[in-house]
Amino acid sequence: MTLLKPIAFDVSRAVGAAVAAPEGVRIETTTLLPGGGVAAVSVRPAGESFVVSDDGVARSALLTLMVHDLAAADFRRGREIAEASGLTFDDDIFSLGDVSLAQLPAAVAFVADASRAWVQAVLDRRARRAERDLAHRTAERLKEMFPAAHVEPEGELMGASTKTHRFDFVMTLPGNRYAAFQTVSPVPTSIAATHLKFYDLSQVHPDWPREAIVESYSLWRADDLAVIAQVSSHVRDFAKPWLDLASLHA
Amino acid sequence: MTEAADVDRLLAHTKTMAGTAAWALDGRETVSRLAVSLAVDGVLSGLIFHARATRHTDPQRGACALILDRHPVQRLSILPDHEHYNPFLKTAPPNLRGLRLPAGRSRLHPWRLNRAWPRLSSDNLGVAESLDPEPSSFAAAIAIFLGLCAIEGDLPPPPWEPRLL
Repeated sequence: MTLLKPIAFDVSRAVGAAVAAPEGVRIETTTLLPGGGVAAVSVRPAGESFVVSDDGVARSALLTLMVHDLAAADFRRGREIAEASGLTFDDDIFSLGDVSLAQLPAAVAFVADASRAWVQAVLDRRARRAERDLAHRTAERLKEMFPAAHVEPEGELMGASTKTHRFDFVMTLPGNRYAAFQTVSPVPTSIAATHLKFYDLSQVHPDWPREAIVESYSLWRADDLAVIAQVSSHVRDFAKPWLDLASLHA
Repeated sequence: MTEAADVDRLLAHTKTMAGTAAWALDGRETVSRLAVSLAVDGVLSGLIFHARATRHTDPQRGACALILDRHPVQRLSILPDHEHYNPFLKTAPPNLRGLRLPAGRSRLHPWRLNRAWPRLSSDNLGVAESLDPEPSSFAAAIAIFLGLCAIEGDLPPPPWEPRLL
């Protein structure tokens, strides 16, 4: 193993610039926001101390990612993130006042990280909400297509590992068979969980249908879809009709 | 349910090590680890002393922590290879808020500065202070931490075979 020489990111140069500029400076940090931008932080002198702020960069990043409609829970999460580091969160802006010169590097780091954490938290929450919404619409479509079928929400089936997996819906089929339906969103946690469940089920009941439901193929990377397709009977695009599914319960 | 006051009492109470403590190398054999269950009045009740130490770096680096119900109570980072920034929590003393603690200096994340229980999983003892004076060796640092946790007994030194590369 080669030992590498540690070189710290030198924020002191940026801090020096902040001290020299009476109107303040904008520091581009090394903190990466979801979506690819960096978290920029402003430092403005205020008497003997400084005010450090992200100037709403987190909200801007969310707008860039087409997230316009924030819920009360998103703002609550922002306040929680701020409080965990002793920052304030007002009008979508993370900031810290009364910062001394010695505290500037820490303030820059914490404000930038709060911006990153909030963008990530909002995106994660939206992904979870989108999956719940897709599951609700899937339930309605199954009921419409198979009014007489027994469809159990949150149904459980055992895989080859003897682990019991929970699926969004389990439909009882003729001949003591079952079909598992699972909604999937194009994020690693959802893909990995679905792959595990379907693979384990396929190893013990290869003939039981395993139906992955996605919002739209167009929202997915091809290789991610391929991962799910390898362990599914079908990957169904909700935006398209599921005509062949009618034969399932025949 | 355990509360902060219960942790205060547990921390002050004399604790003894159960079983024979031994360092074990991890799979890559670059770090050794040690875990010892701690008895209070002869009873084991979820208190554990954890430690890890590098095997080949010079100086030897690592950390030790007192763990209760899988959550850290307090921790000592021994000659860490990275710096640390304290958060700006109002509960922390003003002189420690936003303090930069440099790499290469041991630092303590003590219970009294991170007094919260039940502890959230995201709370990893953010407020630290430098250990002053710097302990003379890895074993001396662990002995200091054992004393701060009122843990009786000695531990064998971790294996250390410093290499240039």
